[in-house]
Amino acid sequence: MANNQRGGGIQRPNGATQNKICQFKLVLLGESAVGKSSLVLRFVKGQFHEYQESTIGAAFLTQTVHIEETAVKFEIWDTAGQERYHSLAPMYYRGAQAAIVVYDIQNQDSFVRAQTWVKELQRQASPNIVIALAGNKADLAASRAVDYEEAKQYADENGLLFMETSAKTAVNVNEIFLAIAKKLPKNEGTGPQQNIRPSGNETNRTSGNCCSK
Amino acid sequence: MFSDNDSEIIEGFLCPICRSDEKTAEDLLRHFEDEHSEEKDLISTFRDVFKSAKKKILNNLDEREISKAIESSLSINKSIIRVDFKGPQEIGIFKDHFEYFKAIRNPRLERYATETNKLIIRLNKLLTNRPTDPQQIKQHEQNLVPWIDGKLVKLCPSCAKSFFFTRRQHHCRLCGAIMCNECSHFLSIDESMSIINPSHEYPKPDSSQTDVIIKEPEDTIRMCEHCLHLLETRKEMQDGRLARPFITKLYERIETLKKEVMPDIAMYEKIIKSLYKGDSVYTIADASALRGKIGSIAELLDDLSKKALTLKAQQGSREEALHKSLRMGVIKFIKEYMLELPQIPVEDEIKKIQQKRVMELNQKIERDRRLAQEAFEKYDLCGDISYAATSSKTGSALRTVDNWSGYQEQNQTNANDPLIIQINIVKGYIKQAREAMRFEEIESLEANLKELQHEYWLKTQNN
Repeated sequence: MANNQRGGGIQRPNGATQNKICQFKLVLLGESAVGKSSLVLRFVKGQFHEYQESTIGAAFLTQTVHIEETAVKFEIWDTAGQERYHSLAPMYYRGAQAAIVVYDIQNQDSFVRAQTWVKELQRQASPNIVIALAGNKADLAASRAVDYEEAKQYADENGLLFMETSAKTAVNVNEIFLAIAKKLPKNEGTGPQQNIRPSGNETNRTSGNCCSK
Repeated sequence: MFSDNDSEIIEGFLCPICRSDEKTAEDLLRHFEDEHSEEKDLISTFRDVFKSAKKKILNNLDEREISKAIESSLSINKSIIRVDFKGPQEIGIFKDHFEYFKAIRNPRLERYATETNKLIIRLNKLLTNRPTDPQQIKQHEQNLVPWIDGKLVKLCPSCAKSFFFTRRQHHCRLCGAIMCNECSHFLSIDESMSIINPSHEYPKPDSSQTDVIIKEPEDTIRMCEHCLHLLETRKEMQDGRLARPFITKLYERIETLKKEVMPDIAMYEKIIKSLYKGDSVYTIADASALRGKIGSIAELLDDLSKKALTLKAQQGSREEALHKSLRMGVIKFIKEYMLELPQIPVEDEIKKIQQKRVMELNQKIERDRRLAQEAFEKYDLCGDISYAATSSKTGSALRTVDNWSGYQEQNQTNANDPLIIQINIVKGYIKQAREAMRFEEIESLEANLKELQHEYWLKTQNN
């Protein structure tokens, strides 16, 4: 993964060179067993495990998305949803440019929990963080407990991206990450924060120029 | 659109900065605090502030921008504080060392056990078919245990003194090792037997049987300190398993006494009740004898429980509490069951009651007789019945007023009658039973006696 960025440009499958590489820290939050790890696994590996084991601590994955001339590399921190790991969460969402707050559309409680996560992010995380709300397990809409409209309205009021996703059927999984990727550079433009960070080798100074200019 | 990603998924308590796995949540928080502390962060955030300040100067940006930057740096600090203090503190890491302890202990125990067992087997072999002749004994011993060659050992292994003609070499009969006479230990045959077979009762010799006392070789086995120690340890363990503390014995004694005395108490109450009813089955003497017996048991219980208090125990220890509660239990038992026994009735009172009962009975018989007479008069049968009634009256009176002397005069007159003989035998039994305080037997014997007397009465009627 390191050599992807070092050269300043990477080879696309079709051979064309890519000029811009952006790197974003993205964190997934939400109650346990709503499908955070499944969403990430679907996005990163294209896989789905019916019996996904519960995450311990946090999981770290990367995936690169290409939008026009820019390669957007997501550094994804998939946090453990269990309440006892809650104290770790601030460490992971600190400095994150994007967050996906996940709930299970079959579970009203998980939606309530998602709202408190959103509140916490708005209060504690970087002010310019892009938050997306994902109503996961959309394939199980038959036993839905959270209305699409209700969630949509909540998302609009709070300025969140919103999609109902299904890690199992891959519905809206790539889409939600893409939507975040598209929203991110625009948000970034003026802020002095290091929204876009280089890989470890490069210095902060060069990073500031990555996508903003 | 998506590039292939073959990087591994890492999971665990990952540091968000350096991605090292810290194994536990606490370690991760600690690591985060130590390695990526606020200072470094502050430097970077202040750098941002300076950068924006520079920008402001250069680009004339409005004030909002810089305040935003400061705010964001502050919010980051806040979040760090949150990380540090959030959630209840969990107890540190536990590590169970029991397995390690067992791993160390088991081989050690095993080594001791096998060594001890070897010695026991050898001891057993030495003792079975042990010849009486000293020369043969030596041969017997050497056949079983290979003795170490004396030439190889210059000094006694335990006292390091050299051997010469007054300090001769001796062999441990169990392991074959060499030592001098002073370092030898001797185990008597009897005690050896008891080690081999714990149930073996041996005549308790004077206490110093295991000491270094040189006895005749026939009844001791010479052994080195090491072997003796192993055997003694085993013996102690066996004794420890069999021995019970004094308090247990005391408690058991008290419990058996309690169990014994309960039927006595019940019987005493029964006797008193029957006396007040005017029955003649038991006498006042019975009651007082039984009362005396119960009283003596109560005294014994009291003494035993007092003994428990005199046992040594640390102030405030569980042992002391046990002793106290044992004593309290006994006191409660005595109070509940033994002190509240009804008093022995006064003899005159009982006599009055009995006389009254006799009178009542007589009146009843009289009334029955009259009624019967009236009834039988109609059938011309009155004579026989009246005779029967009067006779029964005298019989019952004799029986109830004085059980013992009543028939004795008759015995002399009708000594040949088998019924009389039987009655006398039963009476003898009752007397014996009374002496032995077997009150239940008395009751059944009395019933038996009544039947016999009734039979006798019927017989005399027919005559």
